[in-house]
Amino acid sequence: MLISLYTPGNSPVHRTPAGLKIVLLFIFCTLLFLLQSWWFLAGAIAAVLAAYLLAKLSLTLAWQAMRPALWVLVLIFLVQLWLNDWQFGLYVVLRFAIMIVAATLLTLTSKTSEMIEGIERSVGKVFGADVAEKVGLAFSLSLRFIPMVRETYQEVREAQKARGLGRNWRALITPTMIRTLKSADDIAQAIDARSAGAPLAKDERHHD
Amino acid sequence: MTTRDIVLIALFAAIMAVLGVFPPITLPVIAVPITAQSLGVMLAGGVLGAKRGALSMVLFLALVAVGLPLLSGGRGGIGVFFGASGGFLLGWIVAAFVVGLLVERFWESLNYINAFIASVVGGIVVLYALGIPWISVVAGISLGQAFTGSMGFIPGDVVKAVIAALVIVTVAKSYPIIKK
Repeated sequence: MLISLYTPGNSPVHRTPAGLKIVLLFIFCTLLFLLQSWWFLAGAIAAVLAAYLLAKLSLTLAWQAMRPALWVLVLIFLVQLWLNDWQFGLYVVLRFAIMIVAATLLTLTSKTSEMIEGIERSVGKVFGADVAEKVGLAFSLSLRFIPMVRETYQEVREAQKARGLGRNWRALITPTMIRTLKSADDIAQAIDARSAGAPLAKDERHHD
Repeated sequence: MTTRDIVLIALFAAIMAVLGVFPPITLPVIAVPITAQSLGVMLAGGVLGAKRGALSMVLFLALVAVGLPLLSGGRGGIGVFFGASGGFLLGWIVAAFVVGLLVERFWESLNYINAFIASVVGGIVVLYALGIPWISVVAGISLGQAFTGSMGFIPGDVVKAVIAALVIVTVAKSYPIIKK
């Protein structure tokens, strides 16, 4: 059900650690905003497209990444055309587009599981192993909860459809929420019961 | 932070994901389709309270950032944070916190009206105060122009605040989470 956007491969881009790619991406985007120059922008576009080819990814993937933002880009161009001139409009739109394409490269070449592990590790370094453990639990639980909530939502939707409320947000959300909140409490109790002796929490609360 | 807090935070991140596949509604006057996901931001704060609500948004955005296509329309990955709505996405964390803070304050006398106020202040005023400067920077336009451009979404967000208020009060009555 949950399909990650990762595209498998074994290129140097794929093998670079996700954490390093994130740092590089932030440096890249900051420089794009600090250095307002056509030469730098042109170099940046060439570098990102070269990285796509190096990762053996088709450039249509870069295009697909931009497509949802296309109307915003057109709008920005028109506003710039009206405020300034077409050259500056083109500059802003290209800068915008290349940031999205560069960020998509990171997503396409980094495994979701590796990135979650990376987050846990970084959290562990900054806040300690105790917090990292909680973050790990939160990640795994949320991934498990998505199909559970979806199932509950579909049951509720079937029932509300029969009442003619299939598109009524309130009638769909309230029962879904109350039912899943109840399940969440049961799950919390089960986790506490199983990890008795190694409590995650300092203040153990009693749940009714 | 108890195990229950973690479970609730994870649950709301999952609820956000499911709201992303809700059927969008279209208001008759404006053409902008309204998606249910930003309604989840108001609900996270209003149902879980400030701290857990904000953390559930952090978790949801982390799931999006690591490449899961959970935003409405199947969008995901780091790229979405660099788009025009990046400020709004990060603003969800603060928005959920503010809605939660206000609902906690109103808790003893929570009703549809103050739940609506909480949703509007956190989910609209605070959210736009963060989202609009972002648009202004990435699009190279002035704050005023970014503000005008965002106005089309306000009617839909008011509708969401009404629905959020109804759900927050109903859940507070039948299955209270903030204070038991």
